[in-house]
Amino acid sequence: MVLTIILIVILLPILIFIGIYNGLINSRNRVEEAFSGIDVQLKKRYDLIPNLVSTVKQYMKHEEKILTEITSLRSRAVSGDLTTEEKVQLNNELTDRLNALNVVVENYPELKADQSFDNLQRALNEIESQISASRRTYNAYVREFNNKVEQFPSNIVANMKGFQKYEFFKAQEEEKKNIAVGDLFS
Amino acid sequence: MSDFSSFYEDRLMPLIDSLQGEKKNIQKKYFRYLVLPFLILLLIVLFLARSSLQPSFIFFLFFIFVFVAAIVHIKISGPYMEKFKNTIISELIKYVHEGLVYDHKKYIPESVFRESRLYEHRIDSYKGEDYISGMIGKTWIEFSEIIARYKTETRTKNGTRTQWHTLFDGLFFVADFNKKFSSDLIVKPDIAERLFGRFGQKLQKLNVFQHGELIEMENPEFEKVFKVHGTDQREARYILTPALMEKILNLNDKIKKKINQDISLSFINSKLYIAVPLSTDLFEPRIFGKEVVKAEDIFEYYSYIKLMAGIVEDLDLNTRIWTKM
Repeated sequence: MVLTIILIVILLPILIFIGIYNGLINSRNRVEEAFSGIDVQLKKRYDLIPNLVSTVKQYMKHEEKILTEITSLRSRAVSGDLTTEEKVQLNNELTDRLNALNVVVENYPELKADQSFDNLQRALNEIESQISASRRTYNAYVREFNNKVEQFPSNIVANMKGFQKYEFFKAQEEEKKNIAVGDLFS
Repeated sequence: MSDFSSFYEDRLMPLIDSLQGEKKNIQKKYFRYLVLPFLILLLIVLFLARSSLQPSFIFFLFFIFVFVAAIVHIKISGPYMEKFKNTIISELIKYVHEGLVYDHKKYIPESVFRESRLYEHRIDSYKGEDYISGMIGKTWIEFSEIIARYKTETRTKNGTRTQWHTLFDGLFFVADFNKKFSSDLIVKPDIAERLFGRFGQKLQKLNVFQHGELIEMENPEFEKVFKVHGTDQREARYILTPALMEKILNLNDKIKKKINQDISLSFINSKLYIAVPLSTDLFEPRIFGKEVVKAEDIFEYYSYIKLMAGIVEDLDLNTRIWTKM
């Protein structure tokens, strides 16, 4: 009887520790998996850009600047060796420039009527939505993981094992930006 | 509003008036074939009661009468109902949207209702009517009245007792969604969280009967009203964008004002399913009383058709800027 109690007293904390530790690992893996989910979508966007630029170029004579900016941002993004922050920053700029391009496109009815451009734009919208979904999923997992790192009792295990909180993936608010650009023309 | 009243005056009133005669006719028939026979039956029973009649025999007589009466009722009112629906309701639906077609006998099939995964319980009785479908802009929609029920049997001293339970009663709506996806996403009213708060949220996670895993959305108001389950966390967020969540909340508010209940939605196989619970039977004429249909009934029916067709705009389903055309 006494032996059983002693065993329980020793074993129970160990089991709880293992449970919490595995939970933390699980959460961290989900965060990392979600981050690579964003990466996949970002790469898809990089792949589309050369096509987009070459299609647009046929119609646009006076918008060289935006196109060069987009091309150079893309080539910096695919060059690799970027920290996460740099990657986020670069992609936010890219989103911004692509939005600006969308506004300019309004002045080129022939371009808008082009079937291949329509397809490209749909694909791009698709990827934008996917990026935004991936980012929100990542943030949801980060929130879950960070809660575990901060909340009792899992924070004890997290501290012992040196788990660090993750940063949220901040994206500029595209919708607001869109409205702001639109306002300039109204 | 004035548009609708002039439509009512000019187009519906003549149709309603033309049914007036028919209605009087069936009221006469009701008297002749139902009320009169009932009174005669009653007299006979009262007369025979003096000469020691078995109570079970009386009961049997009334049972037969009710059975016959039900058939007679359908026979008498059937053509009138049909005419009412094919003219007045049909006209009303066309008025809401030219692209909509009405078939009062048809309904959303059980297989489609099942596909929505909104009600996973076994179904023992499935009925429906008043099927409306068509293209609104670029979006195909269909909806109808549905009653799905299941039964339970409990053993009592006198044998088994069968009880019927309503799984869903109301308008069931299906639309072609504007994005393509392959995972399942189910959005249902959140009863647990409203009752138990954070603890309710924990309870939801334990719910093993629900298809898919619990997905927490970042919109706190949305989370308060709905609980979201899905088979893919990322795709769930691809479907439920922050903008769509706002729109769903607005739609829910709008419907809740009418029916005082929350709606359920699901997103499966690039389709959107919405269940609007409703215990009143829509699109029916009156059989008793003076009028064929009251003006407020017509307005009520109109508001429901408008509400359902309006979902396309409310949820922005005609915006098709993604790869799905």
